[in-house]
Amino acid sequence: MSGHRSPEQPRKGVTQQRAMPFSSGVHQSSAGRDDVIKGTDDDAIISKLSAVDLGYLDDPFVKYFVKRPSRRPPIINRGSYLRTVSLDALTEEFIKSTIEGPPESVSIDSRASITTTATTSSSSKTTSTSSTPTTISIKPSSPSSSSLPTTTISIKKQIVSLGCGSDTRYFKFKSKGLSAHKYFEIDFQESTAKKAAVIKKNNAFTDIIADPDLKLGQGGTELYSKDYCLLSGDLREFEDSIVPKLKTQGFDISLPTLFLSECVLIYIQPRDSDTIVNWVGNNMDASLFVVYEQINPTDAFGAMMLRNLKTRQIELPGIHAYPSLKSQEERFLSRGWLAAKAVSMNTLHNALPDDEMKRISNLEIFDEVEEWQLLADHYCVAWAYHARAHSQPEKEHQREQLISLLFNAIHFTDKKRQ
Amino acid sequence: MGSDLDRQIQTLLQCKIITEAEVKELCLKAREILVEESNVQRVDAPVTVCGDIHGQFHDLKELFKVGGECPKTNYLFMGDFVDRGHHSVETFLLLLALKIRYPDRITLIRGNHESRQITKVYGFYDECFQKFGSANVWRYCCEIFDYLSLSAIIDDRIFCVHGGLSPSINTIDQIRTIDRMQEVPHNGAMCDLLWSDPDPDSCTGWGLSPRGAGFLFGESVTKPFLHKNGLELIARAHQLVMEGYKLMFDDTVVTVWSAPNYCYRCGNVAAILEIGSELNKSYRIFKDSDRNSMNLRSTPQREGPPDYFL
Repeated sequence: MSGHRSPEQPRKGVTQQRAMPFSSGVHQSSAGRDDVIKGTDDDAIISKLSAVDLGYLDDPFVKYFVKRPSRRPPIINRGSYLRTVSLDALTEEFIKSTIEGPPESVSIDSRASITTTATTSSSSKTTSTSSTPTTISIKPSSPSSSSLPTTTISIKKQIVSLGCGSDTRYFKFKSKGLSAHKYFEIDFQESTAKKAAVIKKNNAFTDIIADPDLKLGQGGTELYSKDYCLLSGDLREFEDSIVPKLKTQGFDISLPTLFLSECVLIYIQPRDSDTIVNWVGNNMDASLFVVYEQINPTDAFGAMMLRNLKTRQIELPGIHAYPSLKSQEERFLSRGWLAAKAVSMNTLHNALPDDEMKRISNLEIFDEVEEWQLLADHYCVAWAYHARAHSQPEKEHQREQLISLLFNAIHFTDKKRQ
Repeated sequence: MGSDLDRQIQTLLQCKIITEAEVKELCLKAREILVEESNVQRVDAPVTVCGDIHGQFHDLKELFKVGGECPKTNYLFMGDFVDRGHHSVETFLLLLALKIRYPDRITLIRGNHESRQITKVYGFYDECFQKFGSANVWRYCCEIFDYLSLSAIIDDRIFCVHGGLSPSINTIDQIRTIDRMQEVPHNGAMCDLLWSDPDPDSCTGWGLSPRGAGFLFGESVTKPFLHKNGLELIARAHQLVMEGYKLMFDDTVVTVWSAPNYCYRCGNVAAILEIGSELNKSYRIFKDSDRNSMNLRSTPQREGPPDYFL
């Protein structure tokens, strides 16, 4: 209780003017607003450190972002853990994904049929996404056990973390030998300035980046290196401001790219988040989009959630546009994405391997069973992939390969079950 | 002395704390009363049965508004007075003071949160430390927890317990033989009574609990237990139910939940179960004090905002 203060806080690459319309009664200077933002970011990473310190997560980088560690309640630790390992698992499989076998052996038809049966598409309305937990198995930080086929084609990839906050995924992964060709992180400059400073002055980070040309830019709000770039910007100006910035740092629309949005899109107006999804779908040759955010705003728990967040001056402008698992999928499918799937955190929780469930159950007492189910039903992970069609027929084969790669990246769960 | 107690009750009713010395004395007096109580405390109808409160002091006052003041209404509280909410200290001490003042009009039985280990994780320990500057009050209260009865039985027909049944227990008499003056153990009959949950999907009768303590008990073990002990109903708490109460197993088990908007977050309503002199049952539903006051309270009752993943 005394230690229960706000656990995880928004990481949003947006300025607070639109996100905090409730502060109108109270005068807040720009500096005061920055303090609020810094405070929320501190809180977010404190929750993650709590989960690290208790042994839920293994991440030696989180502690550098926390001045005053604080133990969070078990329900929050479990949620922080589950969200992190779920997105880690998707990221890991994306990085590891390859195009398997001689491309000729995989016919377009058979692959297309796998795609529709294994995921929900706009044409297969009968597939119930929430009732298929058995096909989902997020196994945290374990190497893929599937034996590789004789021919594998690996391809350069990029990761773009939207509203990254103090996320440490790049460092955690690279320290384990897992890295993408380029890893971009974007957040508003108050957040990136702080992050850039922590990274630049600690060997723990610079040793991982391992680039003698690592340098700060934009008045210390950005950081550039060979494979890692921390960029500042407002996600509501994605096309006009973020994309040019990315391109300046070597962002390549022809490379398969993972876009991560951990409680980010929901903080901006749907028209702005839709702009991002549209741009990615229309411009990237191959993309995997992963979203973690709140759902179910209208039931008793959801209504209370919105009410409580309002008292903290936090609004979720996107929640009513994508309020359900189905609508989270439709966000992508209605824009022509090839496949999309959304599952609640309960589904992911229930799909944890027995030994992992046993391990986390032994870390601390967990007497919040019903409350956990409620809370976890109001958060989801959604993922979708797309590969842009080309006018030149000679590029079609390459597109099929990319689709195969994306398919392999998100269907590792099915493969592992076999 | 009586006037001291009344003054302390008045103080606590305002959600204000009493001194550490007063807490110590209160606990000594409570011990004298509780030590005389049976593991299966006999209670006469009419009585109003309440579930988890969890330190939601203002909602406890709402409960008294809905159910009637003590001692006018005879109360049975089925445990989990502390943890999670922001006023565990005031909540537990008020109930304890009422117990001392009106020992025959209020029955308190132990919940799984009335334990040293659990209160260290779920808030009561921290709250005591914060409000009194030391762990002494927490220690006094934990000693009292050990004296709380494990269950109650209303007119020999309704068995009341915080969690539920235990595979180690077939008869009410077996509960009477438990040595309860101890910290809640990690397993065994006493643990199960405070930790178990009914399981509507049970095929085999007993199942493993996701809580890591106690068991899941099914209809197939509940009905024989009732029959063997001449009971008609098991009233229990322990599980959040959004509607305040939930009947199961052909109305032979009821869960009563008395913490509205649990943790200031869950959006649920709460219930109390009024058992009349003929053992007729009626449920009263109530909302949390924040929402009942139609948002007029300028600051919500909680000090810290509830937790979400943002």
